[in-house]
Amino acid sequence: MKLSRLFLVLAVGSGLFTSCSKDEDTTVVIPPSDGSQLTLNGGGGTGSPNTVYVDFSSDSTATRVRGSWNLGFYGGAEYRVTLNSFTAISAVAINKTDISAVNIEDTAGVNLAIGLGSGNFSMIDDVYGDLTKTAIAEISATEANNKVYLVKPENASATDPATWYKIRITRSGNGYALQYAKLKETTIKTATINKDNNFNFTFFSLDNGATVNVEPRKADWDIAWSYGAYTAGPIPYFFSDLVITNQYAGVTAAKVDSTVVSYNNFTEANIAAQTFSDKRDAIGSSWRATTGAGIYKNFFYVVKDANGNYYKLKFVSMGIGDGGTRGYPVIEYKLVKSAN
Amino acid sequence: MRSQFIVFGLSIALCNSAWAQSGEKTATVNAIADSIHLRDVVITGQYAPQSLKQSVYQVRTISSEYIQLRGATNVLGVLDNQLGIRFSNDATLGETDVEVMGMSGTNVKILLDGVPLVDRGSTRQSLSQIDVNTIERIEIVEGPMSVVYGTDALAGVINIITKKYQGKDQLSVTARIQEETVGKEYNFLSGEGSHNANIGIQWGHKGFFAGAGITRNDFGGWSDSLTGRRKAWKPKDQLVANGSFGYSNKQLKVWYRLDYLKEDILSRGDINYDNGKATDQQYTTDRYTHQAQAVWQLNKDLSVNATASYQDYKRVTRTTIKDFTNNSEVLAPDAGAQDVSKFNTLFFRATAQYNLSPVWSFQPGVEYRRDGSAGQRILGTPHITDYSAFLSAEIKPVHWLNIRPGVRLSENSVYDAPPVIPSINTKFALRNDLDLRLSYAHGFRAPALRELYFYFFDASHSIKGNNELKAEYSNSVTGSVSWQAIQKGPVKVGVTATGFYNDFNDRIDLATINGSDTSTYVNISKFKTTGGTISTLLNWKNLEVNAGFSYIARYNQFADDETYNKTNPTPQFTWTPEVNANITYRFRKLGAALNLSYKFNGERPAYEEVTTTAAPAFVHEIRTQAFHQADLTATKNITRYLIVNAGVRNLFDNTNINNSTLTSGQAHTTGGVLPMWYGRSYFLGLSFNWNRNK
Repeated sequence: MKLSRLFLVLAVGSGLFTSCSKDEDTTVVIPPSDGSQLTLNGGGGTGSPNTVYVDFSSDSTATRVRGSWNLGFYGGAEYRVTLNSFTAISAVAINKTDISAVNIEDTAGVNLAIGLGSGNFSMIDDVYGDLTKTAIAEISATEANNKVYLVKPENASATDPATWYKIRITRSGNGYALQYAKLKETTIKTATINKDNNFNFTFFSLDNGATVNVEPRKADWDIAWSYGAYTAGPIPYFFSDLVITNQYAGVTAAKVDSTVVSYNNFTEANIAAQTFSDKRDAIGSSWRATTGAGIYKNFFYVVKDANGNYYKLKFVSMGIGDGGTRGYPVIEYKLVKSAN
Repeated sequence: MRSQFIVFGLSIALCNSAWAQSGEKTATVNAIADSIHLRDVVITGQYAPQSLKQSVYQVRTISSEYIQLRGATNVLGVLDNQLGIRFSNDATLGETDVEVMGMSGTNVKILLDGVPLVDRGSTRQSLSQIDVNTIERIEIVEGPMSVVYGTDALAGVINIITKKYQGKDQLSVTARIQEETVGKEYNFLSGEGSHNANIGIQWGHKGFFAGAGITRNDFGGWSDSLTGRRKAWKPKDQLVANGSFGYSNKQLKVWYRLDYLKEDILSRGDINYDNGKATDQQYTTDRYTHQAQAVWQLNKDLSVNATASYQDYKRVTRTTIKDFTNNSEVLAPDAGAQDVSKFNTLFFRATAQYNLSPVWSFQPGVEYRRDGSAGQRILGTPHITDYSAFLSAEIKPVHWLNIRPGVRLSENSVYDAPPVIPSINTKFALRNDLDLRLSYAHGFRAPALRELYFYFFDASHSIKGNNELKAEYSNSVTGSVSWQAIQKGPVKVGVTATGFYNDFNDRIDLATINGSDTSTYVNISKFKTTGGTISTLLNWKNLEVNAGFSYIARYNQFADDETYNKTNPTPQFTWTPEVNANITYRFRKLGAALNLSYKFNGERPAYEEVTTTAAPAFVHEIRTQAFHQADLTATKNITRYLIVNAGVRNLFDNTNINNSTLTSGQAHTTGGVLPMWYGRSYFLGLSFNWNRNK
């Protein structure tokens, strides 16, 4: 074998080690949208620092710090108090009605760890938004029936009950009287919360001891995007990128299979064929997978607002393999049938 | 690419200097040679190179001839035929893990010339990151080898032995090109398909020796049923290079070797036609494995082996968002989208082999290992140091008996290392042609850095490592019988039967401590495996047939779970059968050979806990579908320097296999479909082999 031939083999061989560019340079042309597009300022990441309320009719969003409140006092006829289901807050009743008599010893044997496999549904409100199934029982007109609750907000420690609150709520005229303190505190703080029928709830922060502006007026929002309590089989599970409807104002939504009718082709005539859900998870987590798939592009939604307007809604990006950024979802929607 | 040219330049220089000195003398290509298995020399766990028959361990070997016969382009391509070895493919990361005798990769130790290879997690990627062209032989020892090899060697050891200087003046140049289809996808030399090329050189003169090689494995990925940019199997491009030099004489052999790997796995996302963007992820691994070894024969009764190694592993995750409306690209800002994970290991092992008398031999040894890590989800930049000393003896009171007791003592800087690891291996030569091996051993797996220092808190995860962990340990009993049933005459037959029982305790699992919302790693679970294999080897003239059967059981945790074992009793073990066959026929006059490799992987049952909103949780039997796999390859010498090979892989056209799990679609489940293969594929290769021995 000649040396030159050997070199030839080596030279040919070395050519095989050079790599080639593999990506295509397709240019995609996106047809201009005739609807509205909004980027929701969730604050980034999977934990969504913010809850974003969306009003389709005004093309507006209201961004609120997700953990800015703990309790929501219902503005309607019933006396109901909700926990902030956009946070991992949990509560349990203590068989006592005197809040001063409840102290750190009462937490013995109480486990308020919630989420990631811990906790159960009795510690949180109904994940479908049924107001008759709140963790805190209906505030009774009979004062002695209102028990003290132990409350562990999201920012408290499951293993350190001194960071928890004890609360007791009673009726006060056409409103609520709240007593609360941390478990090692001896001074009981109080607050009076009046019902405001323009809002679903009046929101209260235990840490700040004050009411907080959270939801827009009940007629002024349709859906909210947030991190929030939901279900994984038999246990509560907190979902990122959860979308709820404003069910207390009467907003409903239907999921549409885009292989039957596409988003672009969906018109007023297609509304009748849809099944609308009045539960708050009508959209819920069904629009996306948080591992792998991202947004299910084979679905979109039709949302009927409180005034009877119908909007078609699709999710453009959420940050899982779709060119978006996690925690800043982009939605697109269009009015398909006006109530007027 | 720069390193490639340095290595290449070096090889040319070496080649020239040797060339000037002597004339041309070549030996015939001997790739298609017999492999007389029982005379195969093995070294894994031995005091000195030992014939398979004399070895106190039951060892399986895979030769470089077999690698060539199969046209394999990575180690997995020859292990696929082995009984008890299965693979699982991670479609998201483009990585493959190996399972040995029912145990996942985390319990398998991968060695390169006896040096443990670093992996970043529990998956044994290292196995598919070794240059197959540099392999002389693969030795597989089943059962714990923890006395000699320490942590992770519970299910067994896969020791990759590289080609070495044979002690003569030599110069050899090898080159190889192989083109493969990936299913029906193929494009000449780049892009779709699998493209493999290698050049290597070995030189030796008056005891000095050096070698170098470089290999490119470019896998174009596979789309399966996907039509967009996303691929079911991710494209993977490997550049693997090695260089070595050393010196040997009758008493001493010393050498240094560097293995380098650069691997790019590209995970392209589909274009989102709502915004014209796609997210791409690129995983780039750089791996340097330095090793220096010395074997010193002081006198006929005493020898010393020393091995030092430094490994540097870096994996970069880069996530970009490509905007196809204007062809721009930006880095994704999401948490975890950009990451650099680093691992490094400093390793030293020294052993002495001393023959006190024909009856007594001893092997004392010491081992030092320091592992360091940094990266996402690792708290700080921790390192752990492990010191071990071990001693074994080989006792041969009578010629037919060999007893090897051994013990290992360990001390670790972080976790509570098992103080004493014992083992005893025995071999009885019942007759000249019949050997019985029985062993009892304790195996252990040290908690990984990840388990000690993991840190991951976000909206859906709250997990931290636990530096109070103990090692996992196992008690294992292994036995085997080897019978050379027919040794004389044209037909030769050998039969080997093995059986094993492994009981693993203190297995590390994630659990939530009561009253807390944080999960951590704890020594909580148990595992068991048991089973056996029987294999036969038949040689008749030009025909060689190797066939076997295995029946292996894995423990079902629900059998001992008090929540279920009354209401929903399930068996303690789930069994899976496997059948393999490897048939080689050599056409000697033609200089050709045909090989058929076949394996049946039986249906694998397992149990899972299913939780639903509608009903209480229950235990459900999952069945993973059985599948047949077969490859047919042909090899032929076309000149004295060139061998052509061609073949069909995956004759049964496997793609995904089904798994009847009910939990598909939930977070962290692989779902009901397991990617196993990418369809029937074809390959054509050309090997060039020139050598001159003196």
